[in-house]
Amino acid sequence: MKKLVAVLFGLLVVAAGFAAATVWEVTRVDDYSRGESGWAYAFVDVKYDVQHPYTNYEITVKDGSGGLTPEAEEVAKYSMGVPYAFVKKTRYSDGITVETRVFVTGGIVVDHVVASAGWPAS
Amino acid sequence: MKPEAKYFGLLVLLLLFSSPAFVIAEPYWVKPGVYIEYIAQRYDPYFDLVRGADPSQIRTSEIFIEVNGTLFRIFANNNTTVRFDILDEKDGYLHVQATITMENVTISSIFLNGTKYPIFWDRGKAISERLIPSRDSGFLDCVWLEVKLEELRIAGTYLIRLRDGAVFDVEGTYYGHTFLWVGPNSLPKANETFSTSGNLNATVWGVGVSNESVMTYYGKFGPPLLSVLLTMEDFKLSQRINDKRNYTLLEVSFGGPSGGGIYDSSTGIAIYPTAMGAAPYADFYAIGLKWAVFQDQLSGYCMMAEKDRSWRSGLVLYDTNADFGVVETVKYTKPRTVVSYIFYTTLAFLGIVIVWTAVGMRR
Repeated sequence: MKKLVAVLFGLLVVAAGFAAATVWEVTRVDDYSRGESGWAYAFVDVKYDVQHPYTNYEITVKDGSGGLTPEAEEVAKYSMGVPYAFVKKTRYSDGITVETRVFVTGGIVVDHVVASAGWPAS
Repeated sequence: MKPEAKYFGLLVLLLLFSSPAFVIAEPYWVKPGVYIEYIAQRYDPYFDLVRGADPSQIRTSEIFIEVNGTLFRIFANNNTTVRFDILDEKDGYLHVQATITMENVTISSIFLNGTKYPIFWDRGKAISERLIPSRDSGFLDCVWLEVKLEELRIAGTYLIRLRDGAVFDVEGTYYGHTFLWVGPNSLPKANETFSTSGNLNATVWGVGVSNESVMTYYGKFGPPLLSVLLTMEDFKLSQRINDKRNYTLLEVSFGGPSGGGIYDSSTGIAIYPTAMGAAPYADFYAIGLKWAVFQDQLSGYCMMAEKDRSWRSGLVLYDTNADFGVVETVKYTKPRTVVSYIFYTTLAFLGIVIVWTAVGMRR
């Protein structure tokens, strides 16, 4: 019995040692795209084991945003809100895609911009 | 007033209220046997117009569908067609079948590891089907499903009430107005609810008339054209993991109209039903869809690269066997409401009565 306890204790110490030896880092992978009148930004925040960054990791945040470029926003201010942006964020297993489409009156698309970020980084 | 004048007035009123324009909201061509087909087709030169995307990220359609309580995201990299068949009519309701056919398809979802998920695709046509352990913090006990298929067909039947275009699923749940047509005499009005599903409501922003014409794969329409613009709140679609956790798969925000389409003013048929981006439509909700976006890339290319504004985007009318008859170009100044018709008819009636009475007095 004492031997078993000793072995288990030893294993615990070894496991704790390995755990302590894992060095975690955090990083952000991001992507920004800009068109003539729209932009999109996507990012993932990742916590990863420096020894095994692509097999031992967690994605802590998948997010982003999009909209009109400052120039297009300026135009929209004086044109009753035209152009306007439609922004879509879609999360998938290893990342996120942000898609911005810019419309003017009559359903005419003038810009289509995509940004995507993921881990393992592609 | 003489008895003749009374009878004449009664006759005018009878004619007025028995006129089809006042009692029938659906267009004349809507009847069993009619089909309407839309397409969002792939066109590789369009890829160069999209900033920041690789070709695999440019899709002709993306839909979210709930099957037995599980939310699935589905997108197609090749053509997508959406077809509506009016099967029959009974007791004032049209029985309609909607069929969405997608090519080069990816289905994905996230749920707890070990979940027995519903299978609504033909496994015989699956190129691959795999479960990927989740790496999302707080969801490490979950798996992502990823299925790749050559083709996927989603079909469902629902009901459209003839007198007002109201859409119901087969169990009778109401979802709003059909997007397939607008009644020439009953155009949607600002602030009306156009579609509703759960806590998601799309309301009419406005109805406009433009002196333009557009091309479709079926033919040329207009001028003039009608446009119906919709608005709705920014929204999210989340997978329910368990009682305490939801995973947000989709977030959408709108800086202007969030949806809407372009209609032919003569026939009322939707020719570019999703020209303003999204498709928050009752006809889709009634067959289980929660969200849909379509993008015809050939028309998008004509519009963006060639600056040809006779093309729009989204879903494009591809084919129909509807008998539109001889469609004449009509002068369209502004949408007429039922109230305005009543006003002008009453005015005309008043004039007739005055003349009638004056003639009677001279005698």
